[in-house]
Amino acid sequence: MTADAVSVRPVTPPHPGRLEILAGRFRLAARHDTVGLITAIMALVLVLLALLAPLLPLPNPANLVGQAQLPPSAHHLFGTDELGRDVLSRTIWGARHTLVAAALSTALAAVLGTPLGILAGYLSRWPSGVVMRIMDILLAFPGLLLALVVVTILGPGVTTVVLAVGISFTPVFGRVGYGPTRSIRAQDYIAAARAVGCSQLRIVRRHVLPVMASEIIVVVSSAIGWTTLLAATLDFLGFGIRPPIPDWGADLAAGVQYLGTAWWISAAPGVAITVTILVANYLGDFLAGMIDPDRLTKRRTEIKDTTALMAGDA
Amino acid sequence: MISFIIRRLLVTLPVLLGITLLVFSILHVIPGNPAQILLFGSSPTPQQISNLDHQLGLNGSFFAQYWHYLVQLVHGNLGYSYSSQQTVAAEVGSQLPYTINLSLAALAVALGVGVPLGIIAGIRPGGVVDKVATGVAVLGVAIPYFWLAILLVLVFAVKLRWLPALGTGSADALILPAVALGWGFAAIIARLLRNNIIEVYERPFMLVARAKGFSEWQLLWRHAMRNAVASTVTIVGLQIGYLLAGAVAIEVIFGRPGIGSFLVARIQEKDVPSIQGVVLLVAVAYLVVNLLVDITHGLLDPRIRQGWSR
Repeated sequence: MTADAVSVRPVTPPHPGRLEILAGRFRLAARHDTVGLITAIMALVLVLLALLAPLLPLPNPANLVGQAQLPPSAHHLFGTDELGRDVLSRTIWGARHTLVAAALSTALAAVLGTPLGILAGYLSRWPSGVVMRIMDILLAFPGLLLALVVVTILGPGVTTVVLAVGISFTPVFGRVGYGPTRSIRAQDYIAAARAVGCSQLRIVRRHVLPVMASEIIVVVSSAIGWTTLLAATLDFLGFGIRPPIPDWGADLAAGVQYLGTAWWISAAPGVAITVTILVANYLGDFLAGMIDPDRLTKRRTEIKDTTALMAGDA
Repeated sequence: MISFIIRRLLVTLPVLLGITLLVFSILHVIPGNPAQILLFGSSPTPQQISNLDHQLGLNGSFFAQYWHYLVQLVHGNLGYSYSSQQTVAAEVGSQLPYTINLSLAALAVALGVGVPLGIIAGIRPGGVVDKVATGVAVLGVAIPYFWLAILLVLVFAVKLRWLPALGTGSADALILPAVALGWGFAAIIARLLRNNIIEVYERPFMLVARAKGFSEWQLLWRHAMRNAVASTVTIVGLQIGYLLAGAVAIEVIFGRPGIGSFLVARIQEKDVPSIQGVVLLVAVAYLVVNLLVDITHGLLDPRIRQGWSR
């Protein structure tokens, strides 16, 4: 019996390396999805700008470089702000804080939410109900409200924003983990895996996670857009980073008073947030197409609905 | 139908209890003792503190205090504000009408723009209106509502001087905040309705109905819309929270009164009972709206009712 169980293990045929597969998938997805390709490039540019900000020939974002409220010109592409700091430099440096906060909080939400969802999907009837009701309770609070509760408890600050946004998005990932787990739990191949002696952890890793991989990537990617929005909202309301540090939400708020005389102070971070949300949304679809080429031919409308739902959460 | 409503209510009850527990816990996880915060500056004796604790229902075990909190809630008592010494219920009550007005106006914008756009785009996918609607939807979802608010103020209040930027006096003052808050929601409604209508038009029964000689108008209103609306209603209900939460930032930008700007001010003052009051109110309102939406959905679609009785 044990000898049989061992011989069941599939023989892996020689296959191309992972990189080659990825490159092939990338070309396939790029051919089907031009918008996706453009957003993938834009996402790369955004991340590179944020990473390489210290190396770019930009004035220090905290230094006064000229008169206050200078309109955009060849010298200061986006003009100067209410104190005379370079708006372009502040927007690029602001990406570092805003995007890092968004990425960290998305990671937190995914790491907390997905296992909880899988656990709930895997458990028997009533414990699963308990976990999902807790998710329902969290979902009963609109994202911003839940984030404000966390701000109340921890006090304003950068860490607070990451924790607040991360906790607000945890139920979103809970749903992502729960649905697929529930539907494959009763499949024969799960029973078979259990019969040949796979540990629960191995079953989850080898059989459950791959099923939801493309969904997780779509949700992570568009969630980065919505966590950017929520983090920027908290910074905008004054619960995040303190003013001298460049940040999209805080700079947007600072410019509101000068709308009549210097609209560019708020416009630059506003455009940056909008572009980030757009790029994050389309990038998710593009990456999902790479992982699961079936999606490329599927109607895009079905995919878009999940992201529309998340917009409300932010 | 009655059993469906009862089942739906039974599921809501534990969530409601959970919400109250979570809101109650805010007081306990926040640093600082409430009595000390209230008596700050008067160097209170331990006797004064314990008296006040007793008065606030803050002695005894966690669950005894929670029970006290629930009993007070049932009597409509949300506690006393630290900063104004008034009852939270009265303060929140006086702010609430402003937020409700804003939310309803935003909902009107969302439905008024989203529904026609969604229907026209759904009937002719790929047409001019569909392309415009898609553009509006993509931008509407991606532009942060607080930034949209700023753009609207810049164009219509600062440059064109058509509408007031601030204030609550006239009905004009409601237009810009309502558009800023409702636009993203309109985009979501248009998108969902469009997708649902396209889907319904591909079903076999639509072919049958067309073969029977129904006019396009009858096809749309008697067959396509009934199916498309049912699933759109659920999503719209889920998104009501978007309006309530979005009202926070919108009220702050436009300097409007309402529970949103009240909440932000009270968070800065660490006035826990007021924060608890607003959070509880919004969460419960959200829950009730979802309950009503699910019941409406059950009325519109018998299959939902059956799903719940299994």
